[in-house]
Amino acid sequence: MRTGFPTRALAALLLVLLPAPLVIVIGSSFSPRAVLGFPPPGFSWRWYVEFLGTPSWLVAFGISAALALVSAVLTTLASIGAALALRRAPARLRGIAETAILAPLLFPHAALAIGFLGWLGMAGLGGSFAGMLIAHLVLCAPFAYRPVAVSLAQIDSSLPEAATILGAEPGQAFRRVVLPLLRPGIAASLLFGFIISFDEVTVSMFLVGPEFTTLPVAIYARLNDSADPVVAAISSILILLTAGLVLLMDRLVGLRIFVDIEEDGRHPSA
Amino acid sequence: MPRSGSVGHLEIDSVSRSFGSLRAVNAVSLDIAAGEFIAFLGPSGCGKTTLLRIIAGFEAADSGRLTLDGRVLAGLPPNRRDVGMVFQNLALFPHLTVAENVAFGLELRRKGTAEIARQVEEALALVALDGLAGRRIQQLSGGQRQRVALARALVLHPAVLLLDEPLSALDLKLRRQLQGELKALQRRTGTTFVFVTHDQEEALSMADRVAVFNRGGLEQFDTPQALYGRPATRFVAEFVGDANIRSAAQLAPLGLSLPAGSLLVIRPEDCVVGTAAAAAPVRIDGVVEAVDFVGPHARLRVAPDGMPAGTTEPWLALLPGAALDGLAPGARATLGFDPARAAQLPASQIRGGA
Repeated sequence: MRTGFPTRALAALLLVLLPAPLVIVIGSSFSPRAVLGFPPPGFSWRWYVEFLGTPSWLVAFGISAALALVSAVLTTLASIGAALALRRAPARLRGIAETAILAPLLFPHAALAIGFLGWLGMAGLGGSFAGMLIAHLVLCAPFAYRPVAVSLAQIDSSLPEAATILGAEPGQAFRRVVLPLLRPGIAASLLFGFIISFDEVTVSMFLVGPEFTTLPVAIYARLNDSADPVVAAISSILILLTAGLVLLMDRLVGLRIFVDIEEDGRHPSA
Repeated sequence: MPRSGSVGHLEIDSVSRSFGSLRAVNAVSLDIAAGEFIAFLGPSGCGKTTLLRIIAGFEAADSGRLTLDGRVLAGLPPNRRDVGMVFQNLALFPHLTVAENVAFGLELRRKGTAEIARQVEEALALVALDGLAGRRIQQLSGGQRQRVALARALVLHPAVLLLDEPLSALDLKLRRQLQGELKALQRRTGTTFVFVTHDQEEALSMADRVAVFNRGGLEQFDTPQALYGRPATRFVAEFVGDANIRSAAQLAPLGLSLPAGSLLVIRPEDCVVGTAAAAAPVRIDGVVEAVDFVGPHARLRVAPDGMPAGTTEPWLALLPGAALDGLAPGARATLGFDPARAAQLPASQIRGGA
């Protein structure tokens, strides 16, 4: 079937619109003037220097990076455990558990945030790294669980059995056969977990304290009182970092898992 | 690479296994000698795969006893049983190369690198896969994958090799070829093979002895010739090859007297049709219903006279293709057979059924 003119025009428009924000953010980050604007009236590294020279920005960046890293690792480990346990669970129980894991996707983040604010405050964790981490674990769980569960479902149950009858103890069968085959799912899970946590604004905004903030919340707060291009400089660095991370993942495990997660050819077609 | 001494004597003593209310394996006893090629034959759901998985250790028996060369297998996990298995879907490790797949079990046994390399090479040569050691599994054809699975299991010299319908996914021609290779491999290695299949021709052509299963129970355990020539039950007579099965009451009008309740099993190739039937001890007149000509031979269905419409049970005959001699659907014909060549099922032995 030939694609008609309207379809092609729409596709072309989207291709322009998708990278447009990136172009504008990166472009305006090089502005020598103190007002956010595009196109930039000149070229300067001024705002990059300001970001790297301001301790409060760097602390916020460090907190966000640490938070994202810990969230990604913990949710991925929990997802592996959950996927392994639920694979053998009765279908009804699995359905209930998976719905619970995916629930954070279904509720408005503002509502979740108010909930977290209430109970983290009661637990004395308001405005702390631990409190923020708990919230991020919950928010990352749906994104971390799915790739691992899909990867696991694609591993034929006869593979660990084959390892066992060839002499492997259950632990060896898991390490030598199941784990290597789970690798793309685990990588996707880590990447999703990291990006979701690093990016989170809505819920985090409710949970920051006077001495403790994350980078996205700090950016948002800065935009509220002055629109200088330092936020564009920070955003440009984040874009670069994310792109680097994705490329690294692609080199290490391949990113086909993101594209067609259901059809990743992991089965030995008999 | 035959093993020294005779290993692989597998005794199965009244083993049962139920899933809920389903008796998947019902008091099955089999004594399998070292070095035998055994086929487990039966329709799907007859319990043959469950029994195989019990031998492997993936399922536990509810009752009964399993011993391998005198060792009781109950309580031993699959990795300590000295049993190999080729899975129905082969279960090759997709993240490893051919050589790494074959080396998997050797590495777990902590052999030296040089020793592993030598044995892998030997095993790949045994299945005629030398030169493909570095390939990925995804790059292999169906037949090549089959051989990797065999090499991976045989390189460990298991006392018994279990094969769970390993050829069922292949096309007919490749299947025939691999059946021959498998049989030759079994002879060369002297390993006890237990081969599960639902294909009776595969079972008869490959195995030294065939165990026929139906609804969890063992119907008969015998050589292919005995199974075909002297079926023990009606189920075996019908499942293994084609058969005309007639009761004493059906045969009485033909002048044959059988003990009440017993059955006579007449193989289609023991029937003659047309002029050749004149000399047969028992003759039936009827009308040819259908003719399937397949070259070397032809299958005929003859409806006997004098049966009320609807109750007619046609006779099957298998003739040499050249003996067809103008027999066509609708023609009148006489079918004859020699009851001395037929097998009789005593009333007490009639179980199962179609």
